[in-house]
Amino acid sequence: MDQLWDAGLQPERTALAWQRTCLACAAGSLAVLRLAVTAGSALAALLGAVALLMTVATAGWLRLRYRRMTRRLNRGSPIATLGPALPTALAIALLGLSVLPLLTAEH
Amino acid sequence: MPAPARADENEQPGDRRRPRRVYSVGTEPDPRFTLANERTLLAWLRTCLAFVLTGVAAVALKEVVDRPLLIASVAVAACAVGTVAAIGAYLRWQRIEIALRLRRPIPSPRLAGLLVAALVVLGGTGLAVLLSGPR
Repeated sequence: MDQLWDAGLQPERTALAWQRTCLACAAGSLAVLRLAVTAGSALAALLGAVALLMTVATAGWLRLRYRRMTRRLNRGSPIATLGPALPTALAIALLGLSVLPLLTAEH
Repeated sequence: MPAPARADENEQPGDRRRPRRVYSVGTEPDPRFTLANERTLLAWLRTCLAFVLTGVAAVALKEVVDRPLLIASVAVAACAVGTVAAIGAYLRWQRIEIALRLRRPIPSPRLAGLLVAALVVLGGTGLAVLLSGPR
């Protein structure tokens, strides 16, 4: 399997940090989706669904990225870019925006 | 021992990593610093998500607590802080990565002060609501 590059397990810890973040994001998106359904707000449901999709896509992309990063580190090449942090930040922003339609929706 | 980072290596031709604002300056830092920076951003994002989800949970409380204006204020405030801080955290990641690449000191975390202040205000409001008893 992949050779362990760093005794401090930094790439592994980073991958785990991503998993925690994606999990929290997915849980949040599902919560917003559920609230949107009971409140009857299509806009909030859309925001929640988009955030959920972004989170799931990010989780898939991260598996690929970890393998690629470990190969590059073993070669001594510069590692890949930040990864999907901007989409994740945007997903969180979308969930934050969903509060407005949720508040104003009729039950 | 990990392979030493080639810190003298300048930006390679054909390096098209984004955002350009970050990767077009300076030289490659030790990957462990880059990864630590990334984990810090993720910790910030999880904190922002907690603010947002608190705001969303406040909306769910609309049924239980009969103070619509207060609920709306707390919900919007919590979500606003979470949203703004999420974007701010990403921008902060950029500034830190640039500082790492240029071997400059890391900028101070003013974002943390904002979040602490917001937490105190929101927590205090929630406490006041709980102590004021049901309507």
